[in-house]
Amino acid sequence: MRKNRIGVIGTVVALFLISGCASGPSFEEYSGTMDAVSADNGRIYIYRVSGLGAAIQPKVRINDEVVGKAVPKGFFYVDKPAGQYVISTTTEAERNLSLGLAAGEEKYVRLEVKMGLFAGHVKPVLVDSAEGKEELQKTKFAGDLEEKSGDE
Amino acid sequence: MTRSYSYKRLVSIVALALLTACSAQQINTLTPLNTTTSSTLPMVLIDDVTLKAKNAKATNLRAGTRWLRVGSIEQGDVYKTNDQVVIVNSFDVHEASIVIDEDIIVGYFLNLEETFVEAKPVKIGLLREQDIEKK
Repeated sequence: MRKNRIGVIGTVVALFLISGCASGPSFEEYSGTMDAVSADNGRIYIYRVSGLGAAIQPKVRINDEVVGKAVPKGFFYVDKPAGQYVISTTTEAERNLSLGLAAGEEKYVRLEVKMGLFAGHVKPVLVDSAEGKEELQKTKFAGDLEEKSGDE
Repeated sequence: MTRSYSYKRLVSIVALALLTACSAQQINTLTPLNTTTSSTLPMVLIDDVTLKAKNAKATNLRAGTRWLRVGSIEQGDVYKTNDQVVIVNSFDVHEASIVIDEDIIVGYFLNLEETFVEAKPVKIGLLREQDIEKK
């Protein structure tokens, strides 16, 4: 009887965790459908590998414009003209990443989950392209516009 | 009464611990970049180097990476690379260049904020790319 209860609790927790993760096509599948970046733009890939703190999925902003959501095991990308940008997420505190983008350049931003006082923080961190390309393989597309409009 | 006293004591200890953590402040100086107009040749870093600013994670600069002088600030010459990511990773994260005075890296230059961040000085070896090719 007790074992049954533990099993039910385990299943509920597992379902809760899975439901918070990205469910789109894998990066490998989706990358074949992506347009090449135009000559005067650069591309920023933003992804979250960790499933930790799955309930915390803040919006991701670039220069205050909402561009996506920090979905666990999910990725999306944004094409922007060459320039300087600040990528930010907000939970109980705002975390920022400032970076430059050149035309034709690709940048990779990993969203890391950090401990907070009352809620976890999601911190954008710029990573090397080799590391970013490798980690993207573990993610699924999470760039749906509907997902962007969800709650913080 | 005793319980209330213990609670206050606990709060005081936590507050003190938090204040202690804040004592080692990162030294940041707003300083505009004097961009270089003349074309410069890339320099190559000879050995791996670890650069560390207060309250930030260390950055490993890899041997063999090519660095281009993009200008200067009061603290030294500013070098940028496209061969690896250079960031100051503290509460927020900033893409950065490095600042070299003579043959010592003295800190980071935050590209967007135009701010110098002091780091523990590290002596480095840089060679002109063309000299390496000759060897």
